[in-house]
Amino acid sequence: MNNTLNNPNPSLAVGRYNYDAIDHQFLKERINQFRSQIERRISGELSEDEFKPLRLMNGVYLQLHSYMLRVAIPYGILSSTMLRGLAYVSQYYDRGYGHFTTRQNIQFHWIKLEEVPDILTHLASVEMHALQTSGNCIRNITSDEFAGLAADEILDPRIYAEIMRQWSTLHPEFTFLPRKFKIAISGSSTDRVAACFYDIGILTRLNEEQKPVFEVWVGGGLGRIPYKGKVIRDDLPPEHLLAYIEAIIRVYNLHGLRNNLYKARIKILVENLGIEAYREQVEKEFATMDLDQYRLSDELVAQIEGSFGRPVLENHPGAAEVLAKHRQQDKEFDRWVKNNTHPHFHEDYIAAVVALKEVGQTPGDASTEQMHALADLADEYAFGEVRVTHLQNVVLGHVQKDKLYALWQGLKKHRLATANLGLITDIVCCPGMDYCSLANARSIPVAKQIAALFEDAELQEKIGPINIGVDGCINSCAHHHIMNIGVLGVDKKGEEFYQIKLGGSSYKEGAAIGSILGAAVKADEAVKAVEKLIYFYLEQRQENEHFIDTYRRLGTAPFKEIVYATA
Amino acid sequence: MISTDQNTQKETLFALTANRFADGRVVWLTAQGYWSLLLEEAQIFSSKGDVETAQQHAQKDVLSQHILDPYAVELNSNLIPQTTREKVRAFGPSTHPEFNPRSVQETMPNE
Ligand code: SF4
Repeated sequence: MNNTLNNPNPSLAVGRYNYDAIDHQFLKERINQFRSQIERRISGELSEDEFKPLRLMNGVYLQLHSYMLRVAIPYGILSSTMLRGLAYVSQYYDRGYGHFTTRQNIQFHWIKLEEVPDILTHLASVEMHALQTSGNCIRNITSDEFAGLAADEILDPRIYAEIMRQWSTLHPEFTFLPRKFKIAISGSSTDRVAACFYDIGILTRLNEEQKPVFEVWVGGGLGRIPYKGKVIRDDLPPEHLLAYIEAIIRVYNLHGLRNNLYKARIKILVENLGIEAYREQVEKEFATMDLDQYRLSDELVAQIEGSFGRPVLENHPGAAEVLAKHRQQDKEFDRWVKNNTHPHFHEDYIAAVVALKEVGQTPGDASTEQMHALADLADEYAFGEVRVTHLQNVVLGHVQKDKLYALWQGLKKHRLATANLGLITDIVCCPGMDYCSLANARSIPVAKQIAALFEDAELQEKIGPINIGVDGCINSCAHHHIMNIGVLGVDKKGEEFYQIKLGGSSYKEGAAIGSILGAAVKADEAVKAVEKLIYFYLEQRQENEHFIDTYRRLGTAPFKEIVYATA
Repeated sequence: MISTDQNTQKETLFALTANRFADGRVVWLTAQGYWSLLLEEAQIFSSKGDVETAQQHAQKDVLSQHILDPYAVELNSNLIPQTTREKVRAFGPSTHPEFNPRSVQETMPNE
């Protein structure tokens, strides 16, 4: 459990690494470099072929209707100042909203090329950037949305995520990997980051001597060929984290297939070699490394930790009773607390999850006004800290229990108090063919139609915990492979069709890749199919079963029968 | 000569599309030679050969940083794109009807 409760420096933003002069200088130089590259492109000095890899290295994509800028939110943590910076970009350079992704990034979909350097300059002023959000590099490292507050936390993963961020940003060996490379880290043994579906996933446990060690998963991934990763080492001392992941990536860099886009990910290499052989090579590499050079000494970790602001959590006797009273007085609030909060290790505090999943809205989108509101509410109730989750929601982490009701009322004013976390309308959805140039089909309208069927709050609670992911193509940004119900858009001669997967599960305990239910169907039939699946489950479920339990007990066949028998 | 689909014998028409260099917006080549945000203003080609010739000519607009990646889009007899992807490109994201290019009138950047 994290017990560093006192903020050593109250001027530091809580929950994240605060930049020093070198960090600011580094970003300034990178922006100037990109500004000059854009100028050379506009003047015609650089062709599009020459320019494309440069813009991608700076998070700029060309999508269906416009340029898109993807901005990194390292380990998902924003300060209120950063969020206001994003709101500013959405208002003055985009069309009044941003889209939070499952990679703990935010995307702006209506960007003008010549304005990108000014946007990046503005973002740099709030210590943000778009580096490592594209290209074959180590991408933005994701982490547990309850980091630093979860009761079961062994160490704060954000410190290690920051160390890996700094190491990977400047590492010359890892700028041109065979493919993009994704790392997730949690400081608990409970998996809240989908660790087994990352190139490298890291969980934390206590060893026999009660010392923290990392359990390292490797070779997981979604996309065209989904794989559950394998544990390559379950007792890695934190001091060797950098050396060990560098050894993993070196072996991958050496053997990864660069000549086939679909086979270049580490998951294919691990699968082909087998985890034992891969581990052997990694251990061999690790044994040759100068471990002293890579060692994360206590001093170094403390130095990084010292750049993180910490919330000053004081005791508030009676806070829990006040919350209980508010819950009793207001049923709507009670429902939201039941669904949208997570326990905090400090008994007078609680974490509030703000669902960006209001029925009728695009999952993961937040308007300029909502971003400002969240920033203000974070300042008032959560030490100015905002977390973005890998399921496209937002967390205000350290809320005093007796102030939760006031926070909820504030959220409600901005349509941010939807009480559906983990329920059927909390759908994860990629931008799909409404924006994305890689898409085969639209995903947002399908997600919206499914959500609309189950808008009734009591029905949602009756259905209970379930997750649905809707993807516009096999790249699986919305994780359809590992959702209880996954919907995948496919193209059939220019027409949109949707394939349904059942039985996926994202987290270590019970992690599974879903099974295809049957032939792809048109959008309205896919929505109807989901409805049938849900009502069938409600009929068939036994006491205390969730959707996934009923599916596991019955298997695919009866669900398939119910969808295709009358289709 | 008007192209026909061998199986259906339906008329296939074409327009030439691209993304505008400055802001990535979807544009269509007009008969006057400029690029419009509106498909309705596009020059309609009735043969694959003609649209391919126009595509070659459009390379000058690529080289002058006006547009990116011009390509032909098949239209049906109502002058609507055949594929959903091209319909979405022509009419804007279905989730934001207010972003349909017919609602959002913008001037060409740098012009
Ligand atoms: S899953 Fe495919 S369509 Fe959806 S955002 Fe990712 S790449 Fe685009």
